[in-house]
Amino acid sequence: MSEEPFKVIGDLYNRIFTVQSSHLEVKVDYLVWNQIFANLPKDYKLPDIPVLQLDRPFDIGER
Amino acid sequence: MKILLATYWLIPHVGGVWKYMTQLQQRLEAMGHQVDLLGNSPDYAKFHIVNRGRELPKERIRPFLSAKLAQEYAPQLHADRIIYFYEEDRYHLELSAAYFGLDQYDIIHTQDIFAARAISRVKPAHVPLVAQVHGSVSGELHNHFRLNPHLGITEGSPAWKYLKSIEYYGATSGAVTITSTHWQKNELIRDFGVPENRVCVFQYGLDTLDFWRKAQAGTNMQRPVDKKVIIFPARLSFVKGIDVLISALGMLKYIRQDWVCWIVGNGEKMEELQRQVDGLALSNDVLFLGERHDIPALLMQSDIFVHSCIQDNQPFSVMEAQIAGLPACVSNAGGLPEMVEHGRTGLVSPIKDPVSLTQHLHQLLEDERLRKQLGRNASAWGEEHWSLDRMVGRLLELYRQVIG
Repeated sequence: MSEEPFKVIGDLYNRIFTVQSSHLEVKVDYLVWNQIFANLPKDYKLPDIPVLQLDRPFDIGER
Repeated sequence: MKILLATYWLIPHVGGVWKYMTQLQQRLEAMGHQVDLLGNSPDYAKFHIVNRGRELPKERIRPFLSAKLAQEYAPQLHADRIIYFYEEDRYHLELSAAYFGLDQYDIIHTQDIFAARAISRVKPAHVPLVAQVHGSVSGELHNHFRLNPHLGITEGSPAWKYLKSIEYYGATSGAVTITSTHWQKNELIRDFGVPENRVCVFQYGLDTLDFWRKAQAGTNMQRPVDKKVIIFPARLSFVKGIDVLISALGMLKYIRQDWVCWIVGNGEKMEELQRQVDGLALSNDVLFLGERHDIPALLMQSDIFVHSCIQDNQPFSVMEAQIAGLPACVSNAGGLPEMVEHGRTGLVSPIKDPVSLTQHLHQLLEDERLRKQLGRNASAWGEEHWSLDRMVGRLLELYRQVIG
């Protein structure tokens, strides 16, 4: 990987977060994140809510 | 086939999962398949495909995730630092796997619950996932919490519930879940609600040619001329129950002194175990050999193998001891009773029962004929049962079924 990556605002990739907040000061490596973003499933979200719903019985149907 | 073997744990690493992955890789590649190995780096700084030189440092991701997953946006993650630690690192694995690209593989075979859940969330739909469970992460940590009440983590705590949740979601992430023992299968069904029809049991295999090559390479350890050698190769951690063996040896010394014990491995319990040895005046009888790469040769110098663990699934060390023709004194934890038949290939004692273990060691030291007979039985059973060719054949058949 290049020593000086081309940086862009991370908010460009907000789609993967359940709560979409703005952080204009946070920059990310464009090449890395573009590649990650291109390969993620369309419904991919962070955090992984089903795993974190700790008081609910497990249900395969809601994975 | 192009196959990805993936784990959340560190690779390379001295441990059963890494050994399993490399044995499988070597055998599959010898058959013409291409195998990649994905996992955490030994310094936890990156995820990498270690045999291809591909990597993504976590620092390329972490600041972004920290901002977007701060407490105000993802409070569930911050309910306990254990939850945040494992989840954040799992998300690193997910994003790294996406970065490397999973579309290139015909099948993905994960080696733990974290990797299974991670890969299932980022893989393309057409690439099948086989999830293998080598042990119980939640079982091990729940035990740790029970024994360390000062941590304040009980059954109602978020960290406790989280481990149960990730165990469930990890174990149900694949088209099929493989485990090597019926004990583990039953635990997945009973404790985590994994559907029975998704769990498949078949045993590990051992590369016996490699074992014998290492055995023949020898060791610089010399066994004492007039004493028997008791050997316990294991990571020096709580679950391995090495303290149980040392307690037993403290009692055994009062009965007889015609033995020494070699404890082979490193780990966080080293100082504590050393203190226990000193306290029982066993310093001249129990030797800590540290981490070694000549275990097959050490086994060939030994007379009795011990594995007095609190929890284990199907440890390689027991398989190696059987191939070496040693009788095994094991606890009845986890999958061990499926590996050692009491009175035929070894002697099985209850978990955390140093008195029974003392009696078993005394019995084998006293009765040379019994010790040798159990060793011969163990060797014959091991050669038959731990065939790597059989294991790889069954795995390939499973791969084809899942792909097909």
